Amino acid sequence: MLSKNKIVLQAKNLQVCYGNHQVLKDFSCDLPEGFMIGIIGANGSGKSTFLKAIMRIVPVDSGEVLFWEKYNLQEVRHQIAYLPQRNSVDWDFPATVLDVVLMGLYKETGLFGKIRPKHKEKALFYLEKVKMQDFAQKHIAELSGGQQQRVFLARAFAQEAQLYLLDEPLAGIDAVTEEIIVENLQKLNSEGKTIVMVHHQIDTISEYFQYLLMIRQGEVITSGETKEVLTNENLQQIYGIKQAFVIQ
Amino acid sequence: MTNFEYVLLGASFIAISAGIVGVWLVLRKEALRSDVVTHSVLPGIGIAFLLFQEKKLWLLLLGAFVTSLLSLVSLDTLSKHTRLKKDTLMALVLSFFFACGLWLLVKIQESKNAAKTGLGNFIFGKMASILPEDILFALIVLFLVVTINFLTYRWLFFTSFDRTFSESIGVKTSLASFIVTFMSILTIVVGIQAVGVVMLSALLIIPSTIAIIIEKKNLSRIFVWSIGINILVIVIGTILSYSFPKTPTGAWIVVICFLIALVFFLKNNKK
Amino acid sequence: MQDIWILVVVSLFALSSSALGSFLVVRQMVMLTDTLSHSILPGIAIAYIVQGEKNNLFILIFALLCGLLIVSIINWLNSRIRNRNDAVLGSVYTFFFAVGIILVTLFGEQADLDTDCVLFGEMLYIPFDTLDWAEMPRNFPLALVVGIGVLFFVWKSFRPLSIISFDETFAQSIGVNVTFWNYALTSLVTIVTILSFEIVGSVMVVAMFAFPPAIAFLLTKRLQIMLIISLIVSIFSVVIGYYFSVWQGGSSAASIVIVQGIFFMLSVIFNKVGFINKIKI
Repeated sequence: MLSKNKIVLQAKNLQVCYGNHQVLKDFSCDLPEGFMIGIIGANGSGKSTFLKAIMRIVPVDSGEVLFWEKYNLQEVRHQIAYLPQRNSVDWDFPATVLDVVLMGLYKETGLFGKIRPKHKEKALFYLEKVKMQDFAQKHIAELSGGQQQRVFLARAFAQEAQLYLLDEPLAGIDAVTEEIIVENLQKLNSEGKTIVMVHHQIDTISEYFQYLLMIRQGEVITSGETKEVLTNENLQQIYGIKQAFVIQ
Repeated sequence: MTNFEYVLLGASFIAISAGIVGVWLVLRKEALRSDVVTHSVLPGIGIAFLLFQEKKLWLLLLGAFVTSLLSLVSLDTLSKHTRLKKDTLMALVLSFFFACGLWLLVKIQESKNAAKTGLGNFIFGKMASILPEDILFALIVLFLVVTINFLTYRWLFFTSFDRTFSESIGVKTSLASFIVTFMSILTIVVGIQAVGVVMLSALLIIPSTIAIIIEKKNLSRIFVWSIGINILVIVIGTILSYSFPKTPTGAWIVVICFLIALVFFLKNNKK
Repeated sequence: MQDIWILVVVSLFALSSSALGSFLVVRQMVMLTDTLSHSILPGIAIAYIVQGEKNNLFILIFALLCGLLIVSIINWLNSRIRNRNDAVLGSVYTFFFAVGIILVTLFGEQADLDTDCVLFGEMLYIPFDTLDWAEMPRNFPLALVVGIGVLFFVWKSFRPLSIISFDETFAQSIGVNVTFWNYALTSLVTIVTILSFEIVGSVMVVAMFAFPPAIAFLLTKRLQIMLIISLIVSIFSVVIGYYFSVWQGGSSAASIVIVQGIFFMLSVIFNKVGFINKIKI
């Protein structure tokens, strides 16, 4: 099954350092197109840093990333949507829910162009997908954590990308939000989009993902289809022994 | 137009620029950074005066521009290359540049009596010392600030609200920071004479903070509030320092600013 | 003899401020002194105006009251306004400073206080302003008491202070009275700030607290050694800075800060080159 999929993202020998600390060490992997891909690993293993390195948000010391087997980031940046962690943002910033989603339409509005009614309609359309259309004119600080996450996701959807890189979209949210988010992601996936997602809860791994990238201390332990690589042995390797018992 | 009207006109130009720049500074949490800039204009003025031996405003302001830029560059370089934390570095850079400025100023006052022609005004500010031709400067800066703001509005909005997202769509956040820095240095340089080094950062910070507290969600309305409050306080401050000629304008502006702020802080409390 | 008195008094303050400053630098609290040195001005101005002459104790009390007021205002505002701490801090302390400046310019003349004192301090007047009952500067006994007091405090309570600076929660968990030590440190900082204000002026106080410890911080990784280096640096910069201003003119207080700045640049370069790391202090 794997062989007929194109490689959507290929990392070759990525190295990232914060000061003297090496966060990613000789990090290489191939991620296939059209899957829901989970990145799992313990805290501080470099999951978020990997996504940031892909988007060049953190400086990369060496190595490269290729998209769709031959393009570099600059050529396909508009085909990629990145969702930062929710706490990376100042939620007291004077912006409404609609403003945030409109950010995702930067491809159409440009950084300098005018925002027209059709852009607003489009933003509302994406808000509706995450069931937040009634909150469009609310200030972002008035929302609950889960609602904020849904608005963030609507912005990512508005980017209308082929590849979605999501940094812990399911961290610290309520059950309703999790259901809405997962539903939407699965729908996108069924339309052929690739979704790469940093994930924390072990119990839902097999339910959500068809493909896994397992990381420990800045190195790839293994990657492959979930049913092949989701073994107790591998989980023990990335998390240490205790958590592994969660899996039957 | 009388001299007083000229001064008020110039003051309002400065107020509008400060109102715009201040909002970005507060939203980007760079309020204390502007304190570093304001204190660092002083050595530039001193050096320019020593080099050219005359009080040509544009030369002094050029000097001010250069050293304030230098102070921010050294702040960023030091925070990249040493283990020292940001607030310590700010204290160091600020006090060092200010000390250099004071040293030069004393030196100038010791050697030349001509120098007493109001270099001291740069420290505490004297709105009445504005000449009609200085108003042209204020107008040019205002024009630049407004234009830059219109051109880069969404860019600044993106990077202020969500740095990582902006980076991910290929917007250079460092360039956006530079734009804000550039605008604030322009405003600071044109405001030094009128408001003074020590008080200028307050003029940038307090009205915009009030504006952000009054209006929580609409950014353009925040700008309107901030500009409005700025004009109000700068006009009242100018009138007061005319009524008490010995007192510096900047100090009055800060006092009025804060009293207005206090009213809104209290109202904010009730909600 | 005059030179010696100036050097002795200024050095005593420099020693106190750099000893306390070492803890402020590692705890990222240096800006506290800047805030204080600006905001106590109304207190000092009122003390001058009410008293009509210099009276150290009076000034100290008024300035302390003023400092107390500002700390409570900042805390109160911060509890009302979320997420804009630096803006609140910036607006409160400039407000107090502005009130002080207005008081000084309006009523300063009758109290022998002007904006130059506020900016430059009165280092050069130290030897001329003597006590009634002894041939020594008015500032000397106070400087001596404060200097010895601060050094003794830091020496005796080095352990708790360093534990708190590293990890407050841990300190609490092993039964260190964090609140007490924080208050002790802050009040000493306030006192030294007020007294140095008179000598180096409002803006440069923070340099006396921040520069020597920052220099030492770059040269060593141990707190004890950092403390010792910063004490040595503070004395050296006072002496060199003072004689530089005697030789070249210009403000003495500013010269001291400039010398500190040059020492700092040297230590940054040494730190980068790795010269110091090889010596292994």
